[in-house]
Amino acid sequence: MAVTLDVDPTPAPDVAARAVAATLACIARTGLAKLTVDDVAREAGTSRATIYRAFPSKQALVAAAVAAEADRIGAEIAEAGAEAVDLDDLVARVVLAGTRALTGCAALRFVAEHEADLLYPHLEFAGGDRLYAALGRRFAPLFTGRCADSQRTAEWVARFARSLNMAPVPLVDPTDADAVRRVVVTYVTPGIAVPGSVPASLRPEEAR
Amino acid sequence: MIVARAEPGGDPREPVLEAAFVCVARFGFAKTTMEDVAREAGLSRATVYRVFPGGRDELFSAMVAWEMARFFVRMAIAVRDAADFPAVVEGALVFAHREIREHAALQKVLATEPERLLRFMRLEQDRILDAVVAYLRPMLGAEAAGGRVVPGLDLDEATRYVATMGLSLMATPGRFDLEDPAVVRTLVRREILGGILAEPALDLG
Repeated sequence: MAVTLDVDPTPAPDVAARAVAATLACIARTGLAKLTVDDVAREAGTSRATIYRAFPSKQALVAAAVAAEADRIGAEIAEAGAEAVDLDDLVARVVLAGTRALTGCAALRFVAEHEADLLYPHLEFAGGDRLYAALGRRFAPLFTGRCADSQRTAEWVARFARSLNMAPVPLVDPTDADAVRRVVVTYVTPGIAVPGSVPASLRPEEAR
Repeated sequence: MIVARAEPGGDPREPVLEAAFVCVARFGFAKTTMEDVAREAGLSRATVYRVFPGGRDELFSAMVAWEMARFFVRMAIAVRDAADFPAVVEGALVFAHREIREHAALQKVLATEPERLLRFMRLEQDRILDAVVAYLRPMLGAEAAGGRVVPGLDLDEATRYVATMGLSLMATPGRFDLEDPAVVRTLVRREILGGILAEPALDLG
């Protein structure tokens, strides 16, 4: 079973790391609903008791696995963004790297395809608000000095990337680098550029 | 134009959908039975099943679609007197935010049965996006004809960007306080329309 796991197989990974990797492998194979600590223990080549010593519950195990994947994906996106030459390039790199990282996560792919009901409360309404706030905080440093408000910008770019990846009819194919760059330059960066580019007309008292 | 499914007179689904809406607002999805809906509509159980042979799931799915269509009809009415394209988008966001916050049935099931509600809502995504695009496209065309849009822009694509991001904000405003007109105005003219409006046409400041 092909599972993308960039957890470095260090000589003797500790129990927690092994349990997290095993959890992701199990979710990628059978999903969240059917996940059991027994399966995780078997996948990790250890006992139930050992897993329970590191994680008090299945929920804790899943939370740790989600956090680990979020860290990995966040690091990939930050790395891609670090080489950007300008704001257009940065936004495009972040969107493309985000798409790559998300599609590369087999566990997330399984849940999105087969257990969407479990996923969407974390993506819409209050759950979505929390997600965007977290993404804004996580990726704000990438945009610092390149736009008016780095956290606001990071949140908007995350929203755009999410729309490209999950809208019923995406604006363009999110894996097509040229197309993504074109829509980023056309629609996204003009709206998030430096303060000077925000027209004075935005002052509310000058409303038409 | 967004058209309501509710045709006066004809649609036999209408009273059943209305009754299902009332019942779900009161009891939630899980506790609403076909009998409850029939009683609320003043119809027999057999009649309700004749209109929705698939039972509760079919009825609830249709009811969510029906209420979403009504929502966007109310939105179209709320923004019809807006002065220009940016004002339409602003008005739509403000309207959606208030409606969602004050929508008792939506808030109830969102709190108790979000999985089920969001599944039904997802089924309508394409249709809603198409309807919003169809509604906005002529307005952006008029804006372009008036020279207020960046020259050479693909207006179909631009409309889809506006509709997609607008719909995203309606359900999930994130950091934006959509109750504050100044926040909405800046959001619309910066993030949403920053690459679409020809700035000089604002002719302000």
